[in-house]
Amino acid sequence: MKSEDKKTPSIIAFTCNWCSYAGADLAGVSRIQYPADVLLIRVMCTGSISPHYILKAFQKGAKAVLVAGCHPGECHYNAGNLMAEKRMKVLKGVLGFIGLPDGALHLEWISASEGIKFAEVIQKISDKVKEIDAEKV
Amino acid sequence: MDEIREKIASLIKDGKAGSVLAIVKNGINVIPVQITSQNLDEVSNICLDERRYPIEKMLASLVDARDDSSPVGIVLRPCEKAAVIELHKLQRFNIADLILIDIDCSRELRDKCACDWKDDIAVKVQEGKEFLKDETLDTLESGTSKERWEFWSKHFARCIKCYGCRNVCPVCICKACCLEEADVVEKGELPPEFPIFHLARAVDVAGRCIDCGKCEEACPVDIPLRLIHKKVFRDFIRDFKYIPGASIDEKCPLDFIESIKEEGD
Repeated sequence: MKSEDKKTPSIIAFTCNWCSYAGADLAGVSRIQYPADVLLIRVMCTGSISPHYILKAFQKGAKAVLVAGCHPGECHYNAGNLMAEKRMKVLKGVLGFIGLPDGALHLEWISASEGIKFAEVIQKISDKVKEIDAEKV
Repeated sequence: MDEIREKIASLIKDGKAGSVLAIVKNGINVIPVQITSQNLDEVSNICLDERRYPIEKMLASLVDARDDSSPVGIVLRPCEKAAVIELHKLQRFNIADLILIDIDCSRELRDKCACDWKDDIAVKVQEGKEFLKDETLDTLESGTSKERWEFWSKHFARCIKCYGCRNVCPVCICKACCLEEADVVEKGELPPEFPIFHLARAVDVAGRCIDCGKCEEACPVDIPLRLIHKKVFRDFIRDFKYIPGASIDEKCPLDFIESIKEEGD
C-alpha cells in the first residue's frame, strides 16, 4: 500500500480469540478476498468487550463496528458470547436512538472453520458502509 | 402526614432506628436532615411534598458511617424506593439495615415527573397496559436517524461537563468513574465528545436505571437526558422482561456472574 492510500479503517472488528480470530486467519490462509478497510482487534472473549470500547471506536471515526464471537453454546468460557449478545442489544438500541444509522453495529457468530463466512460478513458490512456514505452525500 | 411524623418520632424514641433521614423544611430551605435523638424536634418540620433529593446516595454514606449496627430509617418516595432496591442488589448496603418509610408524592409532583412508579410498573407490564408513555420519545423513535442525530447534537452541544447528571444519579456508585478516564473521554474538551460522554453513562446504568429523572432535573443547561434513560429503561423491560428496581429477588440479566451460573446449570 502506498503511503497516500493510507486511511483510517472504516470498520473495526472485535474478534474472539478462540473462534472468529481463527476464522479470519483461515480466510487469510485460504486466500479468500475481502475488503481491506477492516481493522481486527483480538479479544479473549466477546464477553470481555465493554460497550465503552465500541463507543470509543465510533467516537474516533469508525463507520461500523463488528463484534464476532463463537456460536451460542460454544463459548470457551461457557457464556461470554451470550453476555455480549445482551450488552450489544442494549447498546444497539441506544446508538440507534442517538441517530447512528442502522448498519453501524453488527454482531455475528463466526467459528474457527468459517473463513468464508468471515469474508462474507466483512463484505456485507463494507457494502453497508458504502451505502450509508452514499446516503449522506 | 402526621401519622408518618409520629411513626418517625416513635422509631427514634424507642431506639428502633439510630437515625432517620428525611427532607426537612426550615423557613424557605428544603434540605435533607439526619434526625437523631438530639434533634428530634425537627420531626415536626418534615416536609413530604416539595422537592426531590438524591437521598439514596446520602443514605449509603450514613449506613457506612454509623457507629453501631442500629438500623437507619429513611423516608422514601416510590422512585427512591426502587433506587434503594437497586443499591441493595449492587451490594452498596444491605436492605436489612434499613427501615423504609414509604410516602406518596403529591399529584402535582407526580404529573411533573410523569411518574410511573406510583401505579406499579410491574402490574402495568403484566396486564399489557401501556407504560412509560412519552410523546417526544415516540416522535423521535419514529423519525429518521438523521433527525435524531440533529436533535441530540443540538442538545449535547450545550453540555458544560459539570458531571451533575452523574453526581445526582442514585445508581451511579462506582468509585472510579469512566467519565473521568482519559482513555474513554478526552480531557479538557468542551463541550465533551458527543456521543461517548453521554452514552457511556447510559449504557453503564442500563439494567439499574430506574427512570427517576433526577439527572434531567439536575442538568443546568436543560439537556433532555431522561429521554435516553427512559428509552433504555423501556427497551430493557421489553427485551429482557425484567424491571429494574421492582423486586429484590429478581436478578438483572446483565449481572455477569448470575448468568454464568444459570448457563452452567
